[in-house]
Amino acid sequence: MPLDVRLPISGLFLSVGVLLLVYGAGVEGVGTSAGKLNTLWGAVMLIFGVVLGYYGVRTERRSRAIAKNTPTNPSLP
Amino acid sequence: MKTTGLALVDYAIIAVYFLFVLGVGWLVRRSVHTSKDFFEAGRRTPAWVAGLAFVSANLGAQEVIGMGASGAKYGIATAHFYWVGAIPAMVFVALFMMPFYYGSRARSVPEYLRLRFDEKTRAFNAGSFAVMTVFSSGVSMYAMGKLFNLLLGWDMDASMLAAAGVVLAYTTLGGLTSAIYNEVLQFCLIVAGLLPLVFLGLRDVGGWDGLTAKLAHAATAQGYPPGAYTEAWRHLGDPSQNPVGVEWLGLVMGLGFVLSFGYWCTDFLVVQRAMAADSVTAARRTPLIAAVPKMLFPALVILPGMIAFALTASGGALIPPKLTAALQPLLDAHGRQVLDYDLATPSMLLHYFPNGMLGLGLTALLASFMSGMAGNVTAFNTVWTYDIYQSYIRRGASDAHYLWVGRVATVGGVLLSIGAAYVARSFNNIMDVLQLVFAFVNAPLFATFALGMFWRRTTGHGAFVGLVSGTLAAAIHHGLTLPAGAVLGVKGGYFGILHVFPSELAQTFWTAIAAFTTCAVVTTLVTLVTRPRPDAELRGLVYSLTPRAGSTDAQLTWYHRPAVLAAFVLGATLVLNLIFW
Repeated sequence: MPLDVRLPISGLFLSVGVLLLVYGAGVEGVGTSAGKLNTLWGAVMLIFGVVLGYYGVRTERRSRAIAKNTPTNPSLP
Repeated sequence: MKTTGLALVDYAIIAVYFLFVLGVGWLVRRSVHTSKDFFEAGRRTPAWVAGLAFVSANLGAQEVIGMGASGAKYGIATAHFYWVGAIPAMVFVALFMMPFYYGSRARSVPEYLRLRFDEKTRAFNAGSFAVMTVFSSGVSMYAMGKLFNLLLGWDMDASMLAAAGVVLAYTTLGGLTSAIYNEVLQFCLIVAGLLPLVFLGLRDVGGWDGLTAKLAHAATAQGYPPGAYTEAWRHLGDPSQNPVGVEWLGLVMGLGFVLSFGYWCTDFLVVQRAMAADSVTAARRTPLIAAVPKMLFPALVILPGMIAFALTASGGALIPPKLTAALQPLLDAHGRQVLDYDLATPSMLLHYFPNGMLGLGLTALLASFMSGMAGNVTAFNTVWTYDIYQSYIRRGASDAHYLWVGRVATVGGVLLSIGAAYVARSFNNIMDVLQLVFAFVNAPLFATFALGMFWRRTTGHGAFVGLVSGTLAAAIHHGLTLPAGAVLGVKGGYFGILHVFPSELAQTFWTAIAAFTTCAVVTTLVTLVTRPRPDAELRGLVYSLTPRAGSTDAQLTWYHRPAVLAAFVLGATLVLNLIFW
């Protein structure tokens, strides 16, 4: 696969999570029910994005290391 | 219905989503060099990615909006579309059919039909499938435009064209790989957008117990037993005792066997995702992995509809009434308002979500429309290029030429879908017509596949004549019956009325049974009087002449074995049926 699918999902969840958090806590305020909901769900999405990103980056690094150590045109004996 | 204006944060969330799906298409395009990369995702997709794409491609507009509507109308019985009408067929396609699809090296379902039977059977399936995908995609697009126009006052043409433009961009750039990546992303987003809605709704109605009590009042008010909306099986002995209007035999045979197996086992839209897997074992695991979220989806898509109906029935007026042409509420035969059930889930979003979360919820709806549309478009471009263009218009061209044709077909598919959306606009009940067309086409096709794969004597002439006869039988059955309260026309009865079904669903189930049975009988009879192909030509295409995967499976870790996964999926589904019996 061209890239680990977890990376774009992680990026999207991080971005939306930050938007909800900032809007909920900063604009509406956590004292209101709307602000509380946005902040809480924003935090959940942010955490999910971080976890997914961690595993995505780890797998991507491993794949690159394997590709680097695999000769692309091995010489015949 | 409550109306809410969107704030900047809502638009920002929608814009971020568009940026990411387009970005995926842009990144993936670098890995598309051949037609195999474009149409088959290079056959290098891991099982879990293919599995989520498998379920997401099916999670289109009809699913999220339609199942919410059915939840409001029929209650928990709608879960039969999952626990009876999907899971058993997904297990069957995984264990028994994927080895043929994947192992035969066919690039599409119609191509498998050519390998197994003959050219005319492939042509019949390729043609009907291409038309169905375009219409399905168009109806989905129309439903989306109409929904956003009703909810937010957005211009219908602009919302349809914007969503179609984004789907066109990423599927043209990255083909099936891009569609699969985005389907996984869209799957996660749909769950993230709908899950809080279920929590908020359930909390509001007092949990499952509160919902059961509210729906018991609604059920008795309509003459049903108190548990009619919250018990899935208990009232299926008598069609007049459940809101679906079917008895268990029609449900199990029509939905659980014919329609369900016809769709999950033969529809290239979903099968294509499993065929993109990186090995035959991964291809077999794909529908089983997909079955795990699929069996839990009733909580995500049906419950919001049930909650919306419970609140409406207790005076909350959450679901608006359907309006007549004169913009007056539509009344049924008893003088009661007919609710616009399609707005059940969207109304819940507007009711419970503040700005911010509302943007996320609407993005989840957009994602469901787009994943369904991309699924149709990628299946269409593959069938068009391999099974129509390469077979009948230009054979023997270079791979680069077919890759180019695939990209042009993607543009063509999207343009035709837009055209179909405008056609859908001029019909009131195009969704019903489309469902019926599926019953006409998919139900007999399953008989063709079942006989073709498990009875090696089945001939091409038998398959073709059986398919045509099955489709005709569906038309005759539909033309001679009518659902109660319906008028003659697209609802049936155009050849005369021999029988009146208690509901439209009951009529569709029995139409499918008639189509399947006719196709099976005619295929068998014609096969017996025509010459079968020699065994040597059928190796890898029929069950008795294909090596079993048992020895390969034995080398896998136990929890990776398809049989173990299948047993888990079936066991869990049985438990769910018992819980909501």
